[in-house]
Amino acid sequence: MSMTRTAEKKMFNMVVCVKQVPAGAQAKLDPVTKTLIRSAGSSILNPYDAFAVEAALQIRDRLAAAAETSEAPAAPQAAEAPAPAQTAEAPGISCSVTALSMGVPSVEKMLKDLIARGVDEGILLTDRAFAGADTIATSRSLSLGVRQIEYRRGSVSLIICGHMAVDGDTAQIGPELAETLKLPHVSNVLKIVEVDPENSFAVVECIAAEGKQTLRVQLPALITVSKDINVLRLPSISGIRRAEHQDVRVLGAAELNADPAILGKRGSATQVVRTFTPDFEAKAERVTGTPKEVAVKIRDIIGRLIG
Amino acid sequence: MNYIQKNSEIWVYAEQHAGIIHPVAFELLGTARKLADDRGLRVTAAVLGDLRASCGEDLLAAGADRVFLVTHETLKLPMELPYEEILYRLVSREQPDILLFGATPFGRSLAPRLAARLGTGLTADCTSLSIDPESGLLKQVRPAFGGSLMAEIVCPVMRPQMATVRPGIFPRPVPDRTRGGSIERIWQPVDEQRVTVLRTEARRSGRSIAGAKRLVIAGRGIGLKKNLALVEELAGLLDADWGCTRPLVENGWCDSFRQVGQTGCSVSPELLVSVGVSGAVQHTAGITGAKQVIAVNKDPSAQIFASANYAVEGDCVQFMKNLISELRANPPMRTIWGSSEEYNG
Amino acid sequence: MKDNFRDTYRQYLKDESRTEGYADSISFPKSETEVSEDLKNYCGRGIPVTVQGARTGLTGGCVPFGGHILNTSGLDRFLGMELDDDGSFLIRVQPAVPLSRLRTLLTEKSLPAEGWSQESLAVYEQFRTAPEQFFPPDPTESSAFLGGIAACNASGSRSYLYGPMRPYVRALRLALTDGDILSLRRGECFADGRKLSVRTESGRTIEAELPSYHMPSCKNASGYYAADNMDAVDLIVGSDGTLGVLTELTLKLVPKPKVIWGVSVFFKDEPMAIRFTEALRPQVRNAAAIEYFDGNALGILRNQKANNAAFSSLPVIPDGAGCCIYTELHCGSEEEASGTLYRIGEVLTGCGGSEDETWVARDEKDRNLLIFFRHAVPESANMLIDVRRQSDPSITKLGSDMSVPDGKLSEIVRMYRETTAEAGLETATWGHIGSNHLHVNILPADQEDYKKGKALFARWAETVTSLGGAVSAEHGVGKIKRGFLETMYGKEGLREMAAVKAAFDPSLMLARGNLFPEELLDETGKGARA
Repeated sequence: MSMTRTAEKKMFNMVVCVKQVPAGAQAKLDPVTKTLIRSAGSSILNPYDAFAVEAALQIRDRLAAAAETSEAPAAPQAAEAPAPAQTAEAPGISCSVTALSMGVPSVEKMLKDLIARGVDEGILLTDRAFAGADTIATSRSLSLGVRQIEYRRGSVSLIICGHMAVDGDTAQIGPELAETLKLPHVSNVLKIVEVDPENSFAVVECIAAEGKQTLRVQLPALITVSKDINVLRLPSISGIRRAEHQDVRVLGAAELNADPAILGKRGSATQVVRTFTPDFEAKAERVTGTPKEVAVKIRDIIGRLIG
Repeated sequence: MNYIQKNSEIWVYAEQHAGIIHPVAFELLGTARKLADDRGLRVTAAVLGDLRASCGEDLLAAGADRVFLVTHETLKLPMELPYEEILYRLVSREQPDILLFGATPFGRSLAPRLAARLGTGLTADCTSLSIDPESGLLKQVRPAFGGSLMAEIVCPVMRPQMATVRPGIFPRPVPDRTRGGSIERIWQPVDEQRVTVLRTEARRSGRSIAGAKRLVIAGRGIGLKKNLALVEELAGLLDADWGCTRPLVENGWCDSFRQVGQTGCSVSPELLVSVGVSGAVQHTAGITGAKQVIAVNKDPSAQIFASANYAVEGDCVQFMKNLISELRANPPMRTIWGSSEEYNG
Repeated sequence: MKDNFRDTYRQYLKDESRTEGYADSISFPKSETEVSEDLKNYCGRGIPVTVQGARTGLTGGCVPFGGHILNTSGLDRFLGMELDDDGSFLIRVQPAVPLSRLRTLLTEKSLPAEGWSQESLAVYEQFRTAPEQFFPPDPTESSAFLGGIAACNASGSRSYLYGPMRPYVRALRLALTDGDILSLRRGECFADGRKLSVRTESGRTIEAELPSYHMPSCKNASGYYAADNMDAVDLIVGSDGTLGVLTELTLKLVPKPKVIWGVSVFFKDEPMAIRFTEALRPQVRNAAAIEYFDGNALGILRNQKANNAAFSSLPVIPDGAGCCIYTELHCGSEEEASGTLYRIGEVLTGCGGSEDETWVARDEKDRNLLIFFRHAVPESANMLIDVRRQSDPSITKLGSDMSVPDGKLSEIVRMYRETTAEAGLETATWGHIGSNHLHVNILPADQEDYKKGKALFARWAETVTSLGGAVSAEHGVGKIKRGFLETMYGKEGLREMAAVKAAFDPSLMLARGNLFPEELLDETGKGARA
């Protein structure tokens, strides 16, 4: 592929999959259906997805800055300063970041907040039919959302997910979504070294068994990002104004032309049979006495355990 | 694609790096062997890489009845796409009932891809596996909400029933070299260019406490940074390594490899002494594998006590000082007076 | 002082000003009775007593120079609750409750109510079902004890809207040096002009002629509060521990605003930021705080983020940012907050700023990020000093704490800039610009710089006083700022204060060195006895 710029704009559309999770230890399991009771009460953006959003925004900033200085492809990560959101459209490249989420209707507010932080568009998949989904059903539903974005924008080059959701903590959605879309994926990405829209590849650094690996991955692809690789930027006043006037696209099963058999609880391969509190909760034996007595007792206990 | 017929096989994916089988594969084989013996099933191990025949023998000795040894120099570095393709073909052809993976970074990346391709269910980070005597289904138990709740999960229809298990959760079986079994060597080249490795950088400090057999974990309750000296001293006397909760790393008191919890490492020591740790779920998620836990906290209602076997209500700094002098005066049997730096995790 | 005393009790010989003193003995009384006994025992025998709380003070107020240390950490109980006349919740505490603990318990709506009276428990029940309450005074060091905060009338960023500690003290109990107790309740005892008369529990009357000076119209924590017909409670608050030892405080709580947002605005230069502050103040009624961080402060932060793992989660400061103004909005609803936000946007655009160069924190995670940012500024400066101290142990940070009335802000900032540039000193400035109260921190490279800095502060004290400002706006005077107090009120003012002190503490043994040089105290003593 040549490096010359054509008259028509090159596109680089990104999708970030985001999930709303309960803040702290407030999650509840419905005792009958054994599924999570998701309420808007005290909910937050899954912390790992925050890193994913910032990673996407930084890529967009870098591509826009590179295009402005007439360099192609984008230079490796240098200064971290995020450019203002408005310069996403620069001569030669049209770059967008869409936040996609599957959740309850109140997740719309979370998506609007992401728009205020610089995301271009928010899409919420919400429908009773999606409820009770395990990771397979969820990734299939999300894939339908990605196809919608692809249809509207013409292409999707990169999907970024957080490594895992802090409530489900399976870390399965990213790879399962990649497989469903038949895209290559890289997990546990620590750093996005280079993105080359012209030649359709990215270079990323990720965690590996031995330590770190640097991989070249053909685009379109999906990556999952590791913790604390960046800090999600705060909304600006201008971003908040923009978010106020921009609607989140809300799509149900019908709009996605989804086969109900693959959705929600129906489409799930696994089910939760029962939940129970872990064994050791009742078992803590209190060790009492004066501090010296306690030390002797603990030494005895340790002696028994390791001796 | 999927199939529903029952088959009498439990499969274990044996992860390898640089020709060395990951310990978790042996742990999984040990458990698979027990499950299989209970029900009269067969155990098969599948290992991919650029391999010697002897690793097949190690897998047989750990409990496999049969080993698929898929080898080629292009498979030397574990990569998701080629490995998925090979396993997909093998699994489709042989149709096992159960397929187990170690929940290593690679396992957690490969298993879900394969599960999605097979259209089957996958349960991550199981802490116990058993087969229901009536239904014959694999009962997969895993912690939910950071360990405050346990969930039992089944995959009633789709096959294989897939599960991942973290290293150190299941015991490592004693190898039995008298066991028989077959090793089928499959020569399988792969041409997959979409993801290529440009460079590998070995972990510089190599330090991890994830494999420690004994641990002392310090939380914010120790108060001052200088009290870490007590933690280290106590750990030394117990021939243990030591770790900490996230706030201590964020304060710059400890290196991040010592962090235990949801965003740190998971540990499964035989003995864990937890001092000044409140027991927030993000931390206790990392200690669910600990066998015996002694917890010390000033607050009688601290959540850590829900994860403990022995509870001490009191000031943890005083506790450490007293325990240290007690251990010096009357060492328990087999205490080794070494320094914990020698421990390599 | 015996060597092993220093070895065992070293930490009790200093506070956050890094001044280190010496003492012969220390006690940790656990009740008001024990406090009284200790005071009577030591002051009665002519042994100086220094009172301590959490030792987070910045002026050496709790640092002993001989004699006995009375450490109040044993008095850390919650005693009860009441309702104020206007329906507000009042909480009765002992002085050694840290501010952070009070905050946590208020958020959890769970107070340790063991042993409370029936009346207190009834109010507690109401408190549990009422909307969340909070305690407005917010000195940055939240491990400070409430007693210490009251002793120096501390403030924080929110004092811009809510005021300092003083108005929130509704009643108190003060242990006097003769073993007696003074119990005061706001609204019950007023001065007659400048003549104050209070009655102790044993029936003794203390009469004092309050100082004749006039309080500045700006934020002030310098010396005794004095005004015509003032409430007696207001004299004790902010008296730097010189009149007695607080054994109980009754504090007023306020309903927590439903919506709290933080807005950081970045400007290219300082004059723009000052214009913005002055334009903003009349426009925004629900700003709880307006804080400033100058270019040098931002520079230190950028450096820390790049080089220190503990600061890696700081947000990225925009490249062209020369300085930053942080505003905190306390609103009843999100609509109100949005409306205020847009008005801030208009004001800042009008001053030449950009709505793009702003950070808006609307949820807890983002607010914590901004808190981290704000705390990282002084922390980074301290770390920089610590590094320099390694080559010269006598170096310490010099931070000014002066405030001026509205309208004098530009003038004082110009003076700070001109004089420090002239002296060739490195500085970093931040603080409560909304109250015209900035901390200009001199970062000395050596002893020479340190001396020059101190000399500048003395000059500034004069200028600030001449502009009608306060030489200690929130840190209190303690021992370190005695000189400034004299600049502000003159020798006569100091003598008048010393006379008030002598009325409350005839032994002249309590908190010697705080506010007054010891010679002045002894002079006063002689004068009283003559």
